[in-house]
Amino acid sequence: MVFSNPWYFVFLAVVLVALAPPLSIPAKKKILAVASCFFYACWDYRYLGLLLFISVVDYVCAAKMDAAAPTARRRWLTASLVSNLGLLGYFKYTNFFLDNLNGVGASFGFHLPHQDILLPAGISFFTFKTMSYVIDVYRRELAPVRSLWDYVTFVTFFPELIAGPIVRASVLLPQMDRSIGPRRERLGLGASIFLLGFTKKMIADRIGTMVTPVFERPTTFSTATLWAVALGYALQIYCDFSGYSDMAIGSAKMIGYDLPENFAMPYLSADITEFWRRWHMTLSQWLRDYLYIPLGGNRLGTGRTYVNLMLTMLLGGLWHGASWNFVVWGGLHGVALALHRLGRDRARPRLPRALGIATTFVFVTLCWIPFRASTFAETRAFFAGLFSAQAGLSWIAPEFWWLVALVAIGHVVGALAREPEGSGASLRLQSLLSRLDAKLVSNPISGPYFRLGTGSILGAYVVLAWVLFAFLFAVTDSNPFIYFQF
Amino acid sequence: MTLRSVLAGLLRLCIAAALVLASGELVMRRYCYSPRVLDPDFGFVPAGNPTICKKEGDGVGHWGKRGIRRSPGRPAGASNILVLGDSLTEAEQVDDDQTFTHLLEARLVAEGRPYAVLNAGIEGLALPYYVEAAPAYERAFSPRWTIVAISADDVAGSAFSAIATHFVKNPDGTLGLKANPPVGRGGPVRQFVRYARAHSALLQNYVLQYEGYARSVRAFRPFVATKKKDDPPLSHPERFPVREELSMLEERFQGRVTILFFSGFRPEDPDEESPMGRAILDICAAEGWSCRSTREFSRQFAASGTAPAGFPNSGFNWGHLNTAGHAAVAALLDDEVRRLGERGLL
Repeated sequence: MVFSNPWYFVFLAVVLVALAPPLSIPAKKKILAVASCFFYACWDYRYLGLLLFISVVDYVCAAKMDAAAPTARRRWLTASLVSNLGLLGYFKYTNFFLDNLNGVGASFGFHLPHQDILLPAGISFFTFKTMSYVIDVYRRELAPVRSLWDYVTFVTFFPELIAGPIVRASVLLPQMDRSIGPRRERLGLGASIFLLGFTKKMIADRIGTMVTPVFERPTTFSTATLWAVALGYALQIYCDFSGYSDMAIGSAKMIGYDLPENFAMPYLSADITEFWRRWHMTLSQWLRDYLYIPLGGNRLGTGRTYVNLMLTMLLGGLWHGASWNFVVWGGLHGVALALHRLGRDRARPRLPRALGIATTFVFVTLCWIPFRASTFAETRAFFAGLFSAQAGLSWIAPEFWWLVALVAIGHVVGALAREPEGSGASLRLQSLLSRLDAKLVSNPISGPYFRLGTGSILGAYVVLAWVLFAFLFAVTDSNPFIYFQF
Repeated sequence: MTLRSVLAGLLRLCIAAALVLASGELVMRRYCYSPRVLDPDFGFVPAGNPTICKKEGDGVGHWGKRGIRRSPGRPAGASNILVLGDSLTEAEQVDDDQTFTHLLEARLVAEGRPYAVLNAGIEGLALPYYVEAAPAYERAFSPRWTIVAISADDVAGSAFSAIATHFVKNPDGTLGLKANPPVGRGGPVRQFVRYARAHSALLQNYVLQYEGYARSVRAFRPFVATKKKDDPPLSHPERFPVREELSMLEERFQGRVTILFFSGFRPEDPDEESPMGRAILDICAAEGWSCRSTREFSRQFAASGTAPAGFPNSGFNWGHLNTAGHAAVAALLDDEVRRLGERGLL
């Protein structure tokens, strides 16, 4: 069930109505868990068992681990990691492994058949979520959950089940003692965030219409088109994924939970390290805490630090999908992070911020090309067209530059929202918002968001106009979010 | 919360809503607007005001009397070739001088065969309507020849849809026609909605979006991710009385008609005609009727890696003809007009 599909609105409304009566907190959590299971079963009911299996295995492992001796604790951790990574590896990487094995084996005359495996929706996200829980319990950073219902509610929580943000147990479980359900303030803020996400999705889909055919046949189109499409894809993937995250955060907010911020305007980063602090933040933090640091982080010397950095980014790339293209993408970012670290270690002068932002953006944009292309051949053809005067079809939508401008304006407003409170820019923004009956609501978990209001004619006009134009300009065909495939 | 504050809130919302509707109308008139006027014979037809289409393509179109699209440089006093069809023929996505009807006219003039090619395409029409309205078209335009542009659905699903003029099976098994004129039906509310839709860009776009959402709601297939897609009825021409449908068309236009079949373009298999296209072309060949399929120029698009349909803002090889597609159709029809001339028919 895609968040931008009308069925999701019906589903969310039913969940909110079901959570509205003054029931006990455990009863509401059970309603939420059942609703989340239904949400997942809507994709494919046969895989609901897999989701519940992972939940139960990790619940049991963590519970057993709590009272066990150190060696036994390690065994329970291993059991949990093997089950999670085993399932992830089987469903996501079996055919990738077979394809590569067949590639090597072709010269020796052996061939293993392709397996007919359907990738369970969201498996990359929920396995990371449950792994973080078990590892945190193992590290004694988190007490194990006593109630299986609570744990199932945490694992299956539908707003972030399919494509994140990757919510750690330490973020969501403490919130589970709250009384959830729709409240006026929650609904207002949640709906505002959801509308922002819906608008981003609309922009992503509109740009995607232009982008898709060009990536499929890059030799057909002109160099100018390829550059526009490279820019377009950078904006598409940002709007698509951050839009999804906003819709997830907004949905959760309406229910009564805070999900962690996942994007903090990453394209305004002045260097690649800053970019990874602001892009898909929950994944970056997960990789840092559960992969980079356990590998030794920067504690084992300079050379090992770079190796750890590269390994983390290569595996991070592979996490996105079973394809060498993703590994290349991760590798490029790994090299850039290593080079940036090297420059910082040697105290090289930093670029002026504006130049740093431009350089980082161009680098990230070019790195998206292997990420988006289906094959190395497509990637090569795309780059060849970019850096030669390729004559060909012009394929730039008339409204493309309007959409680019809209994203740019959004970034300016977003940047103002992140200005320190009391600064001139912040005060001017506050004054504008008060005229629109809107306000900036900052939450330590979810980050800053605007809450729209209808308390003035201008405010009501903005809300209604936004809803109307989001409705009128949305691409109504079923367009799954890009990160659903990961 | 007092009654006064509730009323004040409602008033605020009403004023804001009115302002939003007004600004929405203004914006959509510059983005996607297809004004219509009521014609006594043909129902709502494109009006004299320009149509704007920036949702798909980037076209601006102008229409003259009775819903005929303007064609710059039309030869005066020439005989008419009438072109009937749906939105593919109406072609709001491109400018007047880029439509296949205008390009065909320009080609014929340049070749010393000056015909006025009248584009009477109206979105949403299908084969039964052309059959039903043939006498009205004859009276209004006295065409020397008529070209009817159809897609697979025009002889299949749409041809039997009860919301418009449609074919029916008579009790004796023969094919009949049930007229359902687009005007004069329904109560005052329905009449008002039709009138409002013809004159409001906001309402037109709202209805389009609503239909799009309705499609995505219907397409939702829950619970099994690997569920097989439905076998489209269009790939089963044997389920439809195609021969009878085409016979009625030929009969009503007294054999002076060319069927232009819009075949889907498949770059990976450009020479393969769709099942419905094959059925139509086989019937035409057996009966000696004039029929052409856009599949004939598929190979040239496949070779260049381009497609006859689609725009950067709507999709590649999707939706309506682009300028290259219109040029290719004009060339195809030019060839057909030449053939008809050689046979002494035109």
